[in-house]
Amino acid sequence: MLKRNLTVLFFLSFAVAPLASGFVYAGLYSFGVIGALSTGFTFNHWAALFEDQGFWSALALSMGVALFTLLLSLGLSLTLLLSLQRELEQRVNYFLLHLPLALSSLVAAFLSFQWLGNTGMLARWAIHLGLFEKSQDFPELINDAHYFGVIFTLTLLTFPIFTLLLLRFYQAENLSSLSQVAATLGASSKDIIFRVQLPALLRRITPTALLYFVFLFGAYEVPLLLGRQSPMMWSVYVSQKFKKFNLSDLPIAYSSTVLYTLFILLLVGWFWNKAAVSKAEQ
Amino acid sequence: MKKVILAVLFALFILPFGYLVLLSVASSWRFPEVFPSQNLSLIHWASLSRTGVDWLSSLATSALVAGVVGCLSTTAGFLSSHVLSIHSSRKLWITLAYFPYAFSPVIYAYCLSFMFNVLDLTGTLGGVLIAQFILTYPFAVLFFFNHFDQQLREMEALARTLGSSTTVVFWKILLPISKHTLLICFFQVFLISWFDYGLTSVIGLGQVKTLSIMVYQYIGEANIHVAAIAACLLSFPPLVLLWFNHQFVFKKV
Amino acid sequence: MTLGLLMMVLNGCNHPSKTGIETDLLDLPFETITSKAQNTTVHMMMWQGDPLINQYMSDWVVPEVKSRFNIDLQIAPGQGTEIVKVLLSEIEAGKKNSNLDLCWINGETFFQLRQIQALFGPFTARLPNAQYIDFQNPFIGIDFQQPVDGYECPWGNVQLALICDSLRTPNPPLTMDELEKWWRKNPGKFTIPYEFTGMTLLKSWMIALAGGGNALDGPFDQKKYAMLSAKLWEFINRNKRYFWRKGETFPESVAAMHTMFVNQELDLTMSNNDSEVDNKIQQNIFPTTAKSFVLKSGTIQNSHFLGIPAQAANKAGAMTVINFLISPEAQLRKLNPKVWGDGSVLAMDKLPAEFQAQFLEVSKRKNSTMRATIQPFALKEPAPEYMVRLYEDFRKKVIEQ
Repeated sequence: MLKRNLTVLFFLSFAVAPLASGFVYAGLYSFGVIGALSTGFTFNHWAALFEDQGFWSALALSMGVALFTLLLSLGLSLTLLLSLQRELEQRVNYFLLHLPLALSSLVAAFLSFQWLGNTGMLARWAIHLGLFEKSQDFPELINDAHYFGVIFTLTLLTFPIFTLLLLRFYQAENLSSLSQVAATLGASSKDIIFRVQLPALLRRITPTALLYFVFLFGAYEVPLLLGRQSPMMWSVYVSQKFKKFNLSDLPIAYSSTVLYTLFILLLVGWFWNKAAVSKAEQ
Repeated sequence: MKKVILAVLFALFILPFGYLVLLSVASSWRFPEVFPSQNLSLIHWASLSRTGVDWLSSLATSALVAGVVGCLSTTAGFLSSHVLSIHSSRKLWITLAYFPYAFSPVIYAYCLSFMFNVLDLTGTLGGVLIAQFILTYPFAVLFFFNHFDQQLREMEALARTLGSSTTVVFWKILLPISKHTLLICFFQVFLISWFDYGLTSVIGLGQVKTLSIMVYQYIGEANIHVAAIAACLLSFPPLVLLWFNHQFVFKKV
Repeated sequence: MTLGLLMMVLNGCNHPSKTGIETDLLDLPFETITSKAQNTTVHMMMWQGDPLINQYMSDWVVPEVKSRFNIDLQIAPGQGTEIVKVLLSEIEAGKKNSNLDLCWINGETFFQLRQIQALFGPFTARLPNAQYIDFQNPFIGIDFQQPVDGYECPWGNVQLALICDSLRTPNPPLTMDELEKWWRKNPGKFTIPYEFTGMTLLKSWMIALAGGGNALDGPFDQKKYAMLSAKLWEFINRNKRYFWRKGETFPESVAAMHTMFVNQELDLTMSNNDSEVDNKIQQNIFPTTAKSFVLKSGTIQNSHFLGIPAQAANKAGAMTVINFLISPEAQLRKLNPKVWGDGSVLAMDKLPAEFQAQFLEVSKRKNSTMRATIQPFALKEPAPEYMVRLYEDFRKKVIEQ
């Protein structure tokens, strides 16, 4: 009993209290209750946040980038798995699939910067091969309006993980045998993919995919190096508010932190329900 | 066709490592050169030896932080999960553990920075250790939640019925069975910590110089060759760990 | 726990006040301060965006203060508001001992730190080497129109310069009109870094738009700002389609701009250090044909300073290090373009004779325009609020448009 209570206490102290106290602090700061420069309770900082066009575009952009990256990664890894499942299970290939795990977001962003920029490696090869004349002719792939560089890099970091997970689910669900049975019973290969393999794999990966949506939503290092000043992704937006020049922006930084927290609470709460439902369905 | 796709895919995966090494030994590699024009040399690596102490200590700091955080979070997560996974409020604990796990580390760091200032922990190695523990411990708890399944519980119960003490059950049954899972968890926490930039930069104030902090600094200087060296130092140890894991842990896919 | 923290929050919001110990420190003879600093660590925060600057610090200053004073100088990256944010958070948390003992600041950072009473002082008069500093020079003794009052010590003095490759751009544009024509002829080859160098260029333009010279002297004037900044944004926005990436995004650092200049993605770059060209040629980064120039309407010249946080744990150490950094020896070394090329804040006529000749010799330049040549085009920094507002409005009125 004591062990149980101690464990719960430990869990609450290290997993819950830090975030909770940070949330309360940010909340008080955002309403001007605390802070060295505060002049008393006010809604002004919240109003300023909602009036800031940069905030709304950060929100929309983060959603868009996270969604795009997620769908792209899922599509890529499912295609890979369903067409190359046997090859990927081979020992060497299986190891190679792990390689991107050794790259941190920061290093991956640096590499994209070096490769995709207007004077990067790709542009150099393209010019070398006579496809373009000058560096300006090369399309903008980083710091670009569509966040291509960011989505590309995040996808490259995400899809190998999805592929590995799917490979594991494929085995756990015994999909090889199931597909064989289906084939014996006369199912076409299209049927096998869309009626047997895909539903099983998607059901298993949904919780992880949703969680990744939240991770991607909060991505920081990659958009910091490969994104733009406008629009910015949310993590970058918040950290800019904390770092940039106007001291009176600080409470706004805290209000955007509070909002981010609420947003994550909502997403995780929703995700947890969803996961519980999908588990119940299984 | 399959072979071509695989070849392209793995070339894409291997290329970054090769490129980082090449960039770190290129004395100059300007646009529009597709390969470094001058001879390759260890000039940039050699320049490290002048400030060599910094580099070694950076490498050591990263290894120390990731190692300690890996051990602490894995152990604490394992023990906590063992208790919490059969707790009556099991569902609540899982949900609570997801919040910090899903949070953007850099925003989390801004939330934590006040408390860390009050406790005099900012800018210290201890502060970074604790902050990263706070970030990774919920992850470890979640990681083990599914590990303690019905089968394992029944095995424990059986051993107890047969007269084994709690200690014996823990050391002789639970630990040996969980060895692989523990190693994988340690590996993942180690990676999260080893790669972390956002949290370490805010809580460590740049005074705790892990390799990630160095990489960012050199990118900021547009000092790409030295940044490539830092990136090599940051990327190759996990590569070795991966290989080690592949050899000894992931044997059965 | 949360409640406990709340209590701490509420208790922690008091501003730090000068304690008895600090006042004592300022009364001590400097030898005593230096001996107190023995065997201590000094935590410094500074902008670390340039490899040569970092090397000057890590390869020369750090070992020198170690061997001379037995001080461990630890340097962490951070500038401007990052420093303000760190110190403000500490004040809010009621932290007794700051994580920082020494920071590289100027202008708006100094202004903000004074606003939150986060600086220790007045201490400069206590530094023996301060006797050589050219405090009479308005570009050194005054920081963004603010008297420094001994709360920060001048460290270096620089003037904004534009940089071109004389092979690619033999006749660089020297006025705002010429710039406009040049942009149209060379689309995509120019940009403004969204950091202090870029903002310094904007201030230089704003002064030009105001009629030049001392037009922006004096305290911040909201009306003037509104009128001039409107002109400035109009000037930039009507031309930004000829900027790099059509002016939709801007590089975050001068270092990134230099890389693009070298790779010929840009034809112009700039630096807040007027001898940067020599220093970058020396490092084999810029081509030997690179040269610097200033606008006829002038560019901002300013000084950068060293400050000590009010709650610094090791003020004696910080003062010892600062005194060393403003010594003729350290300033001479820093002045050398091979080392850093940072202008000295010392007055030549106050220097010991043996140093005067060396300073003259080292300040010779190859590809950077001589300081004496650009001095007539030096503009004074306007009040810090201009900088704060420009940062904010550049995002709102240019980037987000």
